[in-house]
Amino acid sequence: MSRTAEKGRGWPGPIPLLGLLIVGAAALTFWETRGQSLYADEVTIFSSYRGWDPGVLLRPDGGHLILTTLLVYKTLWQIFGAESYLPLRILHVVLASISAGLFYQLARTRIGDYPALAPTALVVLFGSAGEIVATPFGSLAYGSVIFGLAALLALERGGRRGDVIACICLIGALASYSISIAFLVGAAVLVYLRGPAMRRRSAWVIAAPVLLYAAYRIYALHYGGHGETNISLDNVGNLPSAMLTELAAAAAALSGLFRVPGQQGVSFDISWGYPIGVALVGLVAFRLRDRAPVSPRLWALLATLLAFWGLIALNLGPLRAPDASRYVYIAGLLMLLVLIELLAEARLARLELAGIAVLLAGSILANVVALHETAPQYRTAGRILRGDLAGVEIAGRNADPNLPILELPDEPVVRDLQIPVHDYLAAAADLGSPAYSPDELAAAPETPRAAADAQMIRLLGLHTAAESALPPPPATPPVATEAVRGGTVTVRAGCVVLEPTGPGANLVLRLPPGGVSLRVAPGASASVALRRFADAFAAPLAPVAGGTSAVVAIPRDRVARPWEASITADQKVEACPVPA
Amino acid sequence: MPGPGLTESQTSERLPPRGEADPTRLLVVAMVLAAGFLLWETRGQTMLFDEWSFFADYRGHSPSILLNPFGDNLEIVPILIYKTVFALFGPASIALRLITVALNLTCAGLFYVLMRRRVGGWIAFAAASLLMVLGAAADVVGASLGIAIMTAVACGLGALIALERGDQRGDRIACLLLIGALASNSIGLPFAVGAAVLVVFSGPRPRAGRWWVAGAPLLLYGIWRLWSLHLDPLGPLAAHPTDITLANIGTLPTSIADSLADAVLSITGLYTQPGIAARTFSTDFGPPLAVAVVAALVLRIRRGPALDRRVLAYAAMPLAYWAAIALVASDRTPSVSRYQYGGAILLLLLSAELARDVRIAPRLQAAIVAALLISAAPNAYNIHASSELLRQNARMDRAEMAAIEIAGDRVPYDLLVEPIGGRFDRSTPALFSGGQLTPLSDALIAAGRYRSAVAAFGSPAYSESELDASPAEARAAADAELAAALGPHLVPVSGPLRDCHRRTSAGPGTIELPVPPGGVAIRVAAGGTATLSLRRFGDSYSIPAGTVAGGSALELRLPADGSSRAWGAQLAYSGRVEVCAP
Repeated sequence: MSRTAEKGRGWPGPIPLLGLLIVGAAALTFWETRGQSLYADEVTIFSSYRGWDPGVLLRPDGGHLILTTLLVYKTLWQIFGAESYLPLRILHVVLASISAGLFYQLARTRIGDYPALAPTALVVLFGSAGEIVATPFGSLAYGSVIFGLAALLALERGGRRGDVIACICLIGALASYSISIAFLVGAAVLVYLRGPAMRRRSAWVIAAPVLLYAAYRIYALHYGGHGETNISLDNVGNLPSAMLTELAAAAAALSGLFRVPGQQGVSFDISWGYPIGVALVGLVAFRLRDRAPVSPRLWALLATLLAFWGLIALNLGPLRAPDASRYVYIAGLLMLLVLIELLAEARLARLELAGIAVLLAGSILANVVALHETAPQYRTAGRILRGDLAGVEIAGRNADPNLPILELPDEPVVRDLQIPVHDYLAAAADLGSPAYSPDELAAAPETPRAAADAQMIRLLGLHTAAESALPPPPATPPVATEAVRGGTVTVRAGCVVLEPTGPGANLVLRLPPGGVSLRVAPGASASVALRRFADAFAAPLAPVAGGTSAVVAIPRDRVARPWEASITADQKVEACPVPA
Repeated sequence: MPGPGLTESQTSERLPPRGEADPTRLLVVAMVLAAGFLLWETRGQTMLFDEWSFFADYRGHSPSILLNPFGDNLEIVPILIYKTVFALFGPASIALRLITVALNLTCAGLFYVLMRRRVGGWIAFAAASLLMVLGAAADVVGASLGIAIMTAVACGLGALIALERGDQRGDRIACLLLIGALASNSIGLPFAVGAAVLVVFSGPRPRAGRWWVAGAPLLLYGIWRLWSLHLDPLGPLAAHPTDITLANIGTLPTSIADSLADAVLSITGLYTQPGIAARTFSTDFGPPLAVAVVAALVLRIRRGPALDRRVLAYAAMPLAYWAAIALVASDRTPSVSRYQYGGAILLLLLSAELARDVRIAPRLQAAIVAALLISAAPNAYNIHASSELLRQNARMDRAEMAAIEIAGDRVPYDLLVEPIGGRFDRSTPALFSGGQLTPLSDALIAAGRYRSAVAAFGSPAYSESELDASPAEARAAADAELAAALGPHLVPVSGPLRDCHRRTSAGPGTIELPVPPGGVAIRVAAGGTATLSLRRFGDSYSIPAGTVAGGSALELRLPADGSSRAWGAQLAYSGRVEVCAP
């Protein structure tokens, strides 16, 4: 396609249009990520990677070397503190924009300046890759993509300078995310296709990052479990199916045919991806069979894509599904570049171009809506996490410092998220707190408030402790009645006595600082549940058997807001304050 | 200037090779056979969904009634057809079935004309034959529910044929037919869009002077749409407000792709599920088939002769249709039966237009004809399977309506004859829910309106003797309807009890007894309990009337109604009970 022919009279240049596109997409993404907070691995980076010691910086996260990410995150937290998520949101859109810019540069050299804008729009608004595009958490993967694409561009540029840049970029990619090995494979193919003489002269471009990364992997063995991969015989056996699923997921995402008609909200169905993916494979096979020479870039992209899918397939496991949206971003971007290579060589009729434009427009539409629907999920998750962390901070020193800050299943896949309370509290003291302050928590939605209550109950170990002889109640402050249902209440010397008029009488009490003692008359057990910030009571504590007494002791902390207890019983219950 | 791959429209028509037989007579034979098949299969059916609303809710002839949207559709033409039938023949006649078959054959005939001009007689014959028994759209071709859609399609196809005349008379006819299509059902919209594209991109010049051909119908439709916004829906069936959400917009590509896949499945008949002898619509093969169709389209563009500009109109029609489904039908998937009729016709027309100037080798033509005729078999079977379900549903509807009529004045005016989800937990599965078999409750009409319509037009319900002879499930449905209408329940006794019969049982015991016209009273001694269930037409005591606690007495009084048939009661008790006259 002639590049001069495509330039319409009076059109703005492609770069202003690209700028407009990227700024517009960045603004939309920035808006959609409002209200989000640290997510998943970001909490680990915040809490567990403290200091600038090489031993810390080189420690793998989920098996990945994340050196570049660590450096950027730590620098931002050092400068701006961790109280606000804004710097990370800005970083996210900046990285997304750089990634899109590099993609555009690769695309324009094949299909021209103006047509390349269309696939770039899809890349920068690729909402079906929600884990990358719809949340700053995605910044963890952008480093790999940016360095990887830059390396391909630099290698195509050629010359000594290009090779040096490519080598540095490949090292940067490997230091960002292990999946960058795929880009290394692609780069190796590009170097190999330079011919025997050039190949030998340029071998160091690949050899240097390979050696460095291999040395690192050996060094990382001393980290034990943190450096392990998920490669298993099962994954080897499932390789073909997993790679086909990855192909289908990327094809569905690229085509925009991933949503379920009649279903409101987020959906990602890859049924359409299988036949479309197979058709694309057929198209590539058809092209490779053709006698016309195949461009080195096409070979390199195919090698990168296959290596990427292979690596993912070999490392699948819980929370690592082959159609996970974070894998869709890189695979989709590479597939789009492969398609561009194929289309660049084809002479397309206007009708075909119009068809491609319509398909692309449809895909962008579906992906933008997906972005809009996915981002709030991270907003909700972020709010809950901030509630969780607020609970940790309020519990503070009263909590067992070795308890994990989040209650997660004891599985290897979330091992890096099992962060001890003391690590988190130390990081929050150093870098500032990403959690809600007590005032913010009080004004937050119910879900994070309930999360904070549950955290405090867990970390403080609040429970009903059986006591055979209750201490005499202190003079002040008394237990205060908030509500009563199905019974009558009398107050005696700071104590509240519930006399049920029928089964299931309920009493809600505001507790004094030290907690409450309960004396339950003979009969069925009485149940006790607590709340502090939430409207709803948390899961009940162990019930107090009829005819026994128990104490719910509450340690003093930095927040004055009192706890409330809900007591449900069929018989008389006496609740008295206990000394703080 | 047209772009590469597009040429100015020609008036070319594919003529049969010399000596090749004309299949038109064979088509007439196929039509006769199809008519017989469809009339036989639709026996025992009654009205369904929209038709109940036309019967009970669209009463009178004022513009606000005739032009009131039905589920966002302007359906004045079918409403007038139904009103005429109800007035002349009543709601239980064969007239609606005859009209359905006649419309089906009309559509097939018009479709044949359009197809024949593009791909020759034999493929047109096979496609039209398939269309007549398109079981994927069983709701349309196998039930009178299809009258509205087929009226609109017949008008739309007629408009396309008229436009191909290329003269002023043809334009005038096309304009009138497009108005008719848009006034019958929203499926007329894609035909109007296609006609607009035809006028703009092809046909005789000057094109600007012909804007009214599609412009006037669309303008009138737009005016109606705006005007109708202030109207309240006539009953729950008619209420289906347009619900264009961001999610629907985002789902547009998938929904259009699904619609394409479903249309391909309908045409090929590859939607049946082996081993399941029931009406189905499996979409498993849809995506690969649709991708193959798109690949064939690309090959046609790249390898075939230049396309006539008319192809833009024939491409616009299915796209407009499927986009409308995607945007508006948030609660329906593209695989809903009623969408398959239009989808199959529009996709076949587009395919034919694409093949207009392509030389089709005799063997390929034979293969296409064979494939279409073979597809008629699973499609016809689906009509058969669907008809059986609709007959079962008709029996339930007629029994429930008989109960409403028996209850007479005592039935609450706003009681829905069949509430959503159904009143009766029937064993008969139904249809119309994304291929899933779910209970069908189609008669969402107020009982008061129903009775008023019966007074005006006659009754579609069973007579009492027909109800007596109907299957057990239908009679049980009638009992459930009577229970909803009359609400029989136990109340405290209002006076002294007489004629008491005492029963005692240490464990659970049961008594069956007829309920006399004055009712029945039950007294239970302390420590016992008794639960009363009723029946009238059914075999089982499926109507719970209440429980009498130990140490108390309650009575059941049943109001007189339109039937002299006695109620039966079953008393499940323990302890000592007395059954008395109140």
